[in-house]
Amino acid sequence: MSNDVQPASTAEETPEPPRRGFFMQAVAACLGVLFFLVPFASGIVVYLDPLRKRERSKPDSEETPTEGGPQAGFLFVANLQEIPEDGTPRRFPIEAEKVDAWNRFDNVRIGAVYLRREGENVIAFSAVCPHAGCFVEFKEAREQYECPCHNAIFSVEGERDDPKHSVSPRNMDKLKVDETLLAQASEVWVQYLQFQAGKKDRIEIQ
Amino acid sequence: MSKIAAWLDDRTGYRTWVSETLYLSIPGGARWRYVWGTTLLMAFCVQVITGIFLWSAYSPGVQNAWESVYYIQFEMQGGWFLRGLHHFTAQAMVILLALHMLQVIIHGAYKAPREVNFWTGLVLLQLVLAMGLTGYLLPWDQRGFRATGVATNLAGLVPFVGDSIQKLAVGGVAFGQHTLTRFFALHAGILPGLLILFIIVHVKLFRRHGYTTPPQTEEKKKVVGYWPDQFLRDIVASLGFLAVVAAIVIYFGGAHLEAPADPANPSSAARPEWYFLFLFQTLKYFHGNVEFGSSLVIPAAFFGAIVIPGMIMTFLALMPFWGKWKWGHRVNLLFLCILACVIFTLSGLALYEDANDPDYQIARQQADWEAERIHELVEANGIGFEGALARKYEDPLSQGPLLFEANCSSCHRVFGHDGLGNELAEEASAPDLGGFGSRPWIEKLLDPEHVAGPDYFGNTAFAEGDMVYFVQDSVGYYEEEQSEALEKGIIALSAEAELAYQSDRDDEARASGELDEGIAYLKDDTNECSACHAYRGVNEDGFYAPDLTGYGSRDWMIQMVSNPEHPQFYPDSNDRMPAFEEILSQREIGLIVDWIRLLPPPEYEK
Repeated sequence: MSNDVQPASTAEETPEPPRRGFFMQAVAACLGVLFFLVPFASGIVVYLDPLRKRERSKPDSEETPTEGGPQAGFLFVANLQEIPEDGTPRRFPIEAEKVDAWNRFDNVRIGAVYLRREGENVIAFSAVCPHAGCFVEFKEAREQYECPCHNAIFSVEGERDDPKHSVSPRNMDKLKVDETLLAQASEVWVQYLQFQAGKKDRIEIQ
Repeated sequence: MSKIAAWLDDRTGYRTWVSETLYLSIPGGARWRYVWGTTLLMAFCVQVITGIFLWSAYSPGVQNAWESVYYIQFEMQGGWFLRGLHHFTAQAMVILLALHMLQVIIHGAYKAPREVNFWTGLVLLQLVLAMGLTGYLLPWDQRGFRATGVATNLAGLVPFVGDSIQKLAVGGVAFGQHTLTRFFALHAGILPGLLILFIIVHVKLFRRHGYTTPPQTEEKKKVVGYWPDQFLRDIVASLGFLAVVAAIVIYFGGAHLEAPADPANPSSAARPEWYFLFLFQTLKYFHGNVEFGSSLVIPAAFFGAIVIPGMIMTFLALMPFWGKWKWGHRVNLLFLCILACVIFTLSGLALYEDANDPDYQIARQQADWEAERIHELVEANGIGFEGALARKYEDPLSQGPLLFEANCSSCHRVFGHDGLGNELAEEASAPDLGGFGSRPWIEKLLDPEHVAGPDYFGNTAFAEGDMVYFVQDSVGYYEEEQSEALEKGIIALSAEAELAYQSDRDDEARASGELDEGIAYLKDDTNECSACHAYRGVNEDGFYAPDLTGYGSRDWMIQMVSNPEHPQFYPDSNDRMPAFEEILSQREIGLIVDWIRLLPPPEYEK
């Protein structure tokens, strides 16, 4: 084949300037884009999956709650006697079912709450700092909640001293306690919810 | 040979390519000053090479990530060095980048016609920082897990789209499997791809414009090619860099690996990588919310974490436009100076505050201890299918303090603290359980000076009970002979606990016969113990104080904690102690008991 011995430098000759019209160029460019769009778009669709609103798995919710039993969405946290009578908050882990992608775990610790007695009532706070999502700690010596990350401080009532000069945009997140079960069985059942960090309003993460 | 080369050149044109690469001319000659760009490129090469080898042993997954890094670090031949090289080169790259950028700006290399090249450099800076951020999470240890959690929460602060950005970064609503797979795809695929792309553009543009030479060299007209003069300097500098990093790796024994990420147990010691500390510190100064009318409320942290860094980057990007004027350049230099001072000050403050915060120091020690402990546990037991965290949950030394602090420390202490090392403001209202059942513990219980003190019954319902009365009014006036007999009773009683740290002493007592004398003493129903307590079949029916058979042993303690009102303990006179069998599982009670039984009293520590 005589072509083989031709010097490679022929390739460096400037190509002829395009004589075809705008239409051909546009078609060529569009087809080029289309080609890459297919693999890229099919990847992006999967990548955006976390934005899809998922139906909450409710294995138990279809059963109507039994009379005097726990309300749907409430989790058992502690017996009343475990909470100090003098009003000191105490931290308790929250154990629940957790689904993490393809894994399903029964009874794993998914977070923590602080429980505190206030007379007959029990007040529950999420232990997650509303500022950036670290875990706050109750410091008995100073009788306040302190966040180890950016020094947010909350009173024993979960409130900021001076909202304008606190890194946290809101007070600690108070959680609902089932009052019926507390009164009847001295059990603390808490509706454990998680909220977006850093926002002034409580926006539930779901 | 030269024929083959000619043939190859004919087919590929490689000679042009080589000469373009190697014979870039440098007016004014090679200089040491020019080495930083190449050193940075070489550092990136180190990261690609070490990164791909690490990749071959790493597994992104909640039950595998930490475990595979642990395996690289502690089991694989040379793994610690490979990981250390990757870890410390990453850090050194940030320093090199800062130096490179300082040099570019000080020498005016950002000015026309090099603006675009300067911008690609700024993009590279962001990409390298993003590599640092994503790489920090991959070992899935407590530090990376917590610090990265804060970073993604900050991404969520962006108005309107923050929530979506956060979900896309995290791969869902909470950190988990997909956070790892996504971060890994970013760290090992997307970001390096972009880095390589921008490096190519950066180097191409640099070659187009050449070195930024000092003005006076124009007169000298001495032109030197890149090869070999400048290359030699570049490679010597790169080797020097590598030597320093390797020395650091060896000095620290590789990169640190904390305990595996535990979503349920916070690590208060978590801090971002040092080059992000200034941002971490900045967040402490942005308070509350900024309200625009009533509808738009933006958290102040958004400005600290995103807007201000964004403005700084924008200012840097715009620098070339006014940099060509003498005063514009000076403004840029001043800005850079201030920026460097602010970053140094904020980073220094962050370090200073942590160094002077006793709570942080305790958390730091705790984190180090946990890292060491999980290492011991894995060495002893291996890692199961469910990951290394399971080892921690079955370990008394790891779980005991947490469970004690959460369940016992409202009344009890261990050696004066709450289990985690914190001194509490309130006095204990029940006995201190540090060294419970050991000889020193029982000796103090039977010591008139201690029995009614806060470490024993002082703050309990028994403060004026029969035991205190007996110790103060009877033992306090014992003759020497009686005291010696009591000593043996103490030895025998303490041996009931079968404490591992006391086993040598117990064996000695058994060999010398003291133990038998002690047992006989406790059984002797003429002495005062058996007036209230049962012991080894003596006084089985009539006792109303805790049974001394097996006193302080694992079973005895578990039963006592499970239900103090059991006939064996305080059926009628229990003072506030809840029946923990209703609160904790037997496994958890076992962990607390095992932990207490592992802590020797200070008298035994030499």
